[in-house]
Amino acid sequence: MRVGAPRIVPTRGIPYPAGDPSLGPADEAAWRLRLVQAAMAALGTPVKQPTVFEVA
Amino acid sequence: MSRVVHYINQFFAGVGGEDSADTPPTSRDEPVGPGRRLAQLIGPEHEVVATVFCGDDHASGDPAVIAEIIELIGAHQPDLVVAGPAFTSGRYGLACARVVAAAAAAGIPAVAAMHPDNPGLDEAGSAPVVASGEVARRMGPSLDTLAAAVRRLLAGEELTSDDGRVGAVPRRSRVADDNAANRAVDLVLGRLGGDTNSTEVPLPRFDRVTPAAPVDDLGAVKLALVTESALVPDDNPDHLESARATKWLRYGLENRDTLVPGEWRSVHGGFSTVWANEDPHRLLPLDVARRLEGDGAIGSLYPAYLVTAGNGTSVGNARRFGIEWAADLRHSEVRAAILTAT
Repeated sequence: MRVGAPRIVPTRGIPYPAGDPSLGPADEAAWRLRLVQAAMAALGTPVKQPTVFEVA
Repeated sequence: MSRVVHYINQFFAGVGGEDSADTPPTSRDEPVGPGRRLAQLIGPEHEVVATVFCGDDHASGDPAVIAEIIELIGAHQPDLVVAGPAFTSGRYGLACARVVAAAAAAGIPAVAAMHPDNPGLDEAGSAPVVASGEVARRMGPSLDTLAAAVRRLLAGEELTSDDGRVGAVPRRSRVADDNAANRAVDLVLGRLGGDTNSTEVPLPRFDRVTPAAPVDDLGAVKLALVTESALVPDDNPDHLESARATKWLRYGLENRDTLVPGEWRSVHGGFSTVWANEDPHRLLPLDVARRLEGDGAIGSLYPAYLVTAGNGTSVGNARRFGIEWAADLRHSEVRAAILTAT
């Protein structure tokens, strides 16, 4: 937000923005799919300022 | 006669290029390379008594090397240490900045020259840095600026932005005209009166980026994966830096549906890379992106990813990477990008 990225999807940790090592492999892959789908939804949404899109 | 010692890298000392980047600190009792011109410009009342040079890799790696360099410099009992010009060269700029910072800390006046976007700039500490051109082709005017700064410093004067000074200017104590409460109230009254510029604490400026228009047909467009997580092939063939990156890289994803652990590695110096190296998809979600491409949710995936290390990157370099990435992706007809940030 502070650096002004227009569309932001929050993740679960700096060392694994597209994963979550606390999950088993299948659950982690499912989480990653939801993250990317949230990013795609963000790409399809008009924004005027830095905006956070929570993962559904 | 004032004694000046000049610090340069192996390239400008005429030793060699990348193949000689490991050259250890070396001292010569005469001006070398750009120091010859510098010696002419600073005039007969000042003398470049020695040149100390070191390979870029060697000087920008182990901090102990800087101490060795300072020892060589100190042996010549200089009145002033001059480093560079380093232009936009990252390792050289870093070395120059660290040399002048260490010299100043040891009580030896020092000045460096480099481009304001040089990622080393912030490491100069309290030592002044004057602007140089962007590339060595600008050596002439860069030496003019540096020589003028040298003359001023040796005359006991301070450098200001009029002398081309760049980077942080150390705070100095002075007695203000009025106490803090009155000054604060004056600023508030000024702000209420429409003055939005006055401040005693200038903040760093970030660009305000106008968000791109939404992409409503992702199933019909090309999408790119990009990242600042420093994920590179396991042997880091292009030597991406772990911090203060001066470059970005492109690696192919043709015929790849997944990223095999062991073939990829993050060289990022700002977080533990254990989890990323266990499964590189934690940094670059290629597996699910391929699945979505197969399902038709993504039209097509750009057959490569762009990567840098977002760790202490200078705002100038980050701005340049952004401009180059946007141009590169646009040229490849990419309409949307997902950037994984660490």
